[in-house]
Amino acid sequence: MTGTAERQAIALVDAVRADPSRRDELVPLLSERHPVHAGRSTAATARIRAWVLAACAEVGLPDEAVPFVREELESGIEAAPVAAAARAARSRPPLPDLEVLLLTAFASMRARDAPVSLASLRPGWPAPDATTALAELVATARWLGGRDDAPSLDRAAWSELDGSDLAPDVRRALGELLETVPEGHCCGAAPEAPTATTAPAVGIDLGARLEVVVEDHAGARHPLPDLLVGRPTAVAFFYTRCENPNKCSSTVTKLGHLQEELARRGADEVGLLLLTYDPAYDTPDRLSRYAEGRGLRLGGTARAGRAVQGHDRLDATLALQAGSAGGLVNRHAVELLLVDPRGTVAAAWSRTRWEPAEVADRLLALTPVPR
Amino acid sequence: MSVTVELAVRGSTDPSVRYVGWSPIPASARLVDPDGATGPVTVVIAGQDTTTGGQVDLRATAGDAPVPALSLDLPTDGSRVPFLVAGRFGEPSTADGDAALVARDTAGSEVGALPLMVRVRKDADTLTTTERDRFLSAFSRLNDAGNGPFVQFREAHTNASSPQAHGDAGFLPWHRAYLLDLERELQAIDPAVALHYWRFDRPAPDLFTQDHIGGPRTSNGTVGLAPGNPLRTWTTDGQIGILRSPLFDPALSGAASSSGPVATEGDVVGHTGDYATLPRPLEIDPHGAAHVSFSGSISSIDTAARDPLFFLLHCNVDRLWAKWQWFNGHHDPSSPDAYPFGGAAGSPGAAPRGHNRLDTMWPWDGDTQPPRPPTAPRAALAASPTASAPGPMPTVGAMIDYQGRLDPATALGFDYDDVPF
Amino acid sequence: MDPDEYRATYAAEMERARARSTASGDGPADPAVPDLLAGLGDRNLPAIERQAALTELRRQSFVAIAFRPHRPAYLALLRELVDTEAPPLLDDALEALALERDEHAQQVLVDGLRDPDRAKVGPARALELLSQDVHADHYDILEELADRDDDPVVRRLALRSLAADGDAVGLFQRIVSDPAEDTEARTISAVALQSLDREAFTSVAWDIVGDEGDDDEVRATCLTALGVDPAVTGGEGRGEQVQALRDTTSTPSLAKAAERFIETSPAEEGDPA
Repeated sequence: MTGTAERQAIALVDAVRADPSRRDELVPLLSERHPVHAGRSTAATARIRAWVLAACAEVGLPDEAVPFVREELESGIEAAPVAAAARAARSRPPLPDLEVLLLTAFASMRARDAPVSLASLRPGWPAPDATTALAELVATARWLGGRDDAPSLDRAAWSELDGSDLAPDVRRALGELLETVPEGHCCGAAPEAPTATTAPAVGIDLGARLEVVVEDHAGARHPLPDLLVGRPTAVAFFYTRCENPNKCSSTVTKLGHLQEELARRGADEVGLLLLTYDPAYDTPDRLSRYAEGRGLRLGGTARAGRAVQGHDRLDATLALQAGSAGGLVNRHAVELLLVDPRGTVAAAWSRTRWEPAEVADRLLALTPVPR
Repeated sequence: MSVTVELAVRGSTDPSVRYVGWSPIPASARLVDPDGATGPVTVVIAGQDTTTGGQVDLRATAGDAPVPALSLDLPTDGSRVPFLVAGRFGEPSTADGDAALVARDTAGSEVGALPLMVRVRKDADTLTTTERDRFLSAFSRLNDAGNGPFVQFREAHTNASSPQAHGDAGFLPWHRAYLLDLERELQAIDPAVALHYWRFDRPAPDLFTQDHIGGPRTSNGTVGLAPGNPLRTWTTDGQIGILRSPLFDPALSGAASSSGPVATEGDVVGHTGDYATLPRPLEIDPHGAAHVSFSGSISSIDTAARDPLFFLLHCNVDRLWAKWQWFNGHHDPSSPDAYPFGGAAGSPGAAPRGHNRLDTMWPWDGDTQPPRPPTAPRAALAASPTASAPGPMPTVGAMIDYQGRLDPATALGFDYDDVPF
Repeated sequence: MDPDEYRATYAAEMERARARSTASGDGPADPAVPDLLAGLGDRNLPAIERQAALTELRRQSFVAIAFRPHRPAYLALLRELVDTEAPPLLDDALEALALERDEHAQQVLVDGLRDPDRAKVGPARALELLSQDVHADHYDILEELADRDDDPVVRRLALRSLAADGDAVGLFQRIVSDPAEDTEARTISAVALQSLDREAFTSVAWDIVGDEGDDDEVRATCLTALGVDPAVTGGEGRGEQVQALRDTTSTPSLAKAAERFIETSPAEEGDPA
């Protein structure tokens, strides 16, 4: 809606543009929990985020906004926020793993690219500043390649991207980029991507105080602590109507890989719990079909469920990064928690991808199980 | 003397295996009660002696011409005597069990019988009321008002997965596997059901009705469906009903738009080049042309699988390929005429992964590494009691000899009413 | 039918068709996408030619990889048409974009729903096009539209869109149970309720099916919906109830729904016959 929250956001962005020292004030606008995203469509929240990130690109990307840039490049599927994230990444010293992020985003956006205008929240068309996600990704690579404070680009990786399915301007820009990258480059060790964060969720007790009741995929109801206490548990959030395959669908697929990894290591005691952001819609049937269709075997200590009581308390306590419109989730982060056998959050991944092998290591480090 | 003969197909008398198409399948007869006979007992095996219902023909061995009846000498030790049975082209069943294998003694008395169904994919405009209703009912149950397994088929055909299924040689094999997977799920609900096709180059007055795939749109924008039509509960992506409005009059013509009518069957089947030159023109016209002869969900790749008609449209695309294969003799997976092969994925000259003959196909192979989508919503292609091929993780090549002409073990267990063996 | 005879007949038919055809070879090459884009954007051309160009572009968009290089230019042009054109091109462009879940088109449609003075299409068409994206931007006004009694069509479309909203269960329960409500609104509500809350639907649906005084179209829709739910059986006397209904009703759609229920929903083993 073009309501108060949006008008206030526009005023704030204008004020920060006029006074870039206030750039940190832009960060809250990027969160799905900010009122400007409440009740909006997935497409509108993506556009708002793109517009805020484009403002960040003008005034300099605040450190606290970096996870949002990383998130868009790793898992975004809408052209506008990915283009804006690529542009914002050029407004500060290079992120250590920026080249990998750009290559990831290029692969993901290749089939989805669309025209983008970042000049205003409500651009009209034709837009004089029109660009695309792929064009911005290549522009950022060009910028990165010219930096003294970043290793030179991986020529082979960029030249492999060329193909007849790219738009003529992107192909041209890619060709120009390659002309600036020296032959025979050796990129050395791949830079480390950030791992589990020290997100606010760490240290939170998910025990009895919350009074959350989970209905699992088989229709059985359990107080949340019964599913957590006594064993280390990976808790991942998702919902079945998510349309970003890099997020929920990928999360559940990777949880299946984690399950295989744990089985290989003989770690039968570890719990896997998928919780939906959308408890009204995600019935046990839908939960089990979604999980099992993606290779996660439910049963034993592996469950998919919805909070049929206390969902709002769980949401508020963990500050889940999911917005809503009507009874639907609109946009959300990728969120994974590792909960220790006492029911306390020991590690959390938010807005960043996680790897099954590392999560398995961390889970097993949470044993032995205190009885 | 009255002996008793047990007839079996696919080594079994179980009701789940009693379905045949045009391809010959193994059958057998044996004496379960020789009734005192001391030497082999001669029986005559034939189809049901009726003029209605499905008809079958028999072969003693694979190299023989089909015959309506076969005389067999059955040993008294009860061992099986093999032969082959196939549906008689042009005479498919219209109901479960309306065909049969019947054994008669030399006096003409019936001494054994096995009900069968000659189950083939048909022109959806020609179905009997019962065939139509069972088909719609199974389809609707698979959807289950948006709660059923159909959601995985919907999720497997989107913009994100489009390069797995479109734009290269694998277009036809991928969709053949996709339809087969869906058909097997329908048959798990009702084994008498086959997936049928919309012959989009002809009028289809009985298909585009309230009692079938949907009549003219109603005031709420969705197609009209009678209150007793099982599709009345059709729900995808949280939206009930089907948004579809033809840009042509389906009672009077085949699909057409402002670009003109879609390419005809003759345009495709008469294509004289090899496979390498087939899919691209076919993918645009008639395939793409049929999609955009409507407004609504079916007119875009990302949303098309919301509409059950999409599967009938693609079934016709697959039929055109099957008919081209039959007319031009292109069933050998290793022949470049039947499918081009430039090596396995990744080698020089190869097509993108999933489009080479030896490649497995997403989503059934579970491959979620780029350039595949990050998730694979159909973990395995459905199994069938009537065909062991192609297994849970099909290759492109496994889709080519769908009738098992070169190797009966590779038959996929479906046929079209107008494409003979 | 003998397959060899069939082949001979088919080959002869193909030959005759070929002789009749005036087309040469494989027909004309597909028009190039840049030319089509130029035609679609050319205001000097008649609308019908520009519409034909758009249809051809959509046809070619099905060969996704070949179309990819042109996709950004295609979408940008469609947005321009939305901002600058009148029907029928405006409507065609809106639909093509709505199917892509394009935010610009959605915004234009939602703006029109909120402020009829800005509407480029009527509310019914806007709701229909917006329903292509379940993650929509107008849930806050759908309930208001679903309450409108001055325009039953808009109301039905709003209800249809609310079928995605888990918070709308109570609304659907109320409408489907109210015999004074519009029949169409009740049947939409029945299906929506089945999708959102199976238990609530099953309970209310049996009540409606059993109520001889209720609207037969709603009863038939409810019974059809019960019949496609694999969890619903003819047990606990339901099968007999439905058989009696089939034998006594004079409404064909209700009899048909009953017949299908009996065929597909047998009593479970152990259930009384």
